Amino acid sequence: MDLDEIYRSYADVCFSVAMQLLRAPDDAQDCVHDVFVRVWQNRDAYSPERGSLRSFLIACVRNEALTRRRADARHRAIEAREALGETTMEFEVSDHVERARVRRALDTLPSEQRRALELAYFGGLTHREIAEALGEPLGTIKSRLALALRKLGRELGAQGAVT
Amino acid sequence: MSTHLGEELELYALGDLSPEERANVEQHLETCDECIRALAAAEETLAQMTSLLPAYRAPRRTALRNLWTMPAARMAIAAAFVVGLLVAAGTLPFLGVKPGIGSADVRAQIAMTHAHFEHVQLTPIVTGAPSVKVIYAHDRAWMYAIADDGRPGYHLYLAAGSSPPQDLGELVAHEGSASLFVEHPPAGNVLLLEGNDRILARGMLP
Repeated sequence: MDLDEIYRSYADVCFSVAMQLLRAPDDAQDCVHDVFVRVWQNRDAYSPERGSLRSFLIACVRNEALTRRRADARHRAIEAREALGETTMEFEVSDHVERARVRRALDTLPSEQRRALELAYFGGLTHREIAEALGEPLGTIKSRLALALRKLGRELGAQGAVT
Repeated sequence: MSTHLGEELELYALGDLSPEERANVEQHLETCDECIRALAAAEETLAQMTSLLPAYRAPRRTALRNLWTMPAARMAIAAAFVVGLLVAAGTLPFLGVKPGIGSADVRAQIAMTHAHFEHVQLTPIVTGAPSVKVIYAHDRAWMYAIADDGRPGYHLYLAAGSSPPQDLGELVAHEGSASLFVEHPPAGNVLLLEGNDRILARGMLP
């Protein structure tokens, strides 16, 4: 698989992840571009044990977007407010089955775990910001996030992954 | 390895550890296959959550940078773009090409439409000069000229300041039109079309 093929296969989902966190198309594009080039230049470092290429790229893009976002303090307050106030989101995705499956799995989480995970994932909030927003100790939030992710993984696995 | 990573593994996947914490996790991962698999599982879970995000189509410019290194793909994409551009400009009929040319590259055409391109129409200097449009990437990575005249012998020149114009090459004639693709053209902002040892048209790049 060459870089173009990888880009064609995964650019859309990676761009969507970057857009969620950076909100600006130019920033998201730069972020995705840099990650793809970096991964391609270090492609020997990737192995299948590391997970699927798709999830690996998404993780790389998400981390890069978070780093950029957090480096830009201007975004912080606005994004935190948006994430907290936003209870519904507009979707343009066509895969309603997959979306419903993930939503169902998310809904099985205890509400405090789901809330923390949603703030971290959709809002890109730091653990500290989540703790402040929810008025909970930092350690509690960290534990909730870890538990939420593990439980969600089990639920999704139990439901059968759709790729 | 006697102990495995605890919640810091999921927090690492979520991307919110301090540099020191991250370094510790990465050091552990170097020697622990079990934690690598657990991390892969956590990242897979997060990847599946992307289905809940609003979906966007990524700009294709990045992919094109590499596509251009393949001559066949390069020409097909350029042709597809030119067709799209000229259809939009209402100038397609004179070229005698049909919409659908390079239809396999519709994606590429869309890509190019989303990318950062400009085009300039050369101004005829002499009567009977062909109509020439030059499309170029903003970053000047390439340039593509197309003329509505299929006769051979047209050359495109690029001039910079008082330096002598450089011959970028002869336009390749095909079915009533002629075109030339130039990768990484030299610096310059004055485009000249030459034919029969005469300058026939000129244009300025910004």
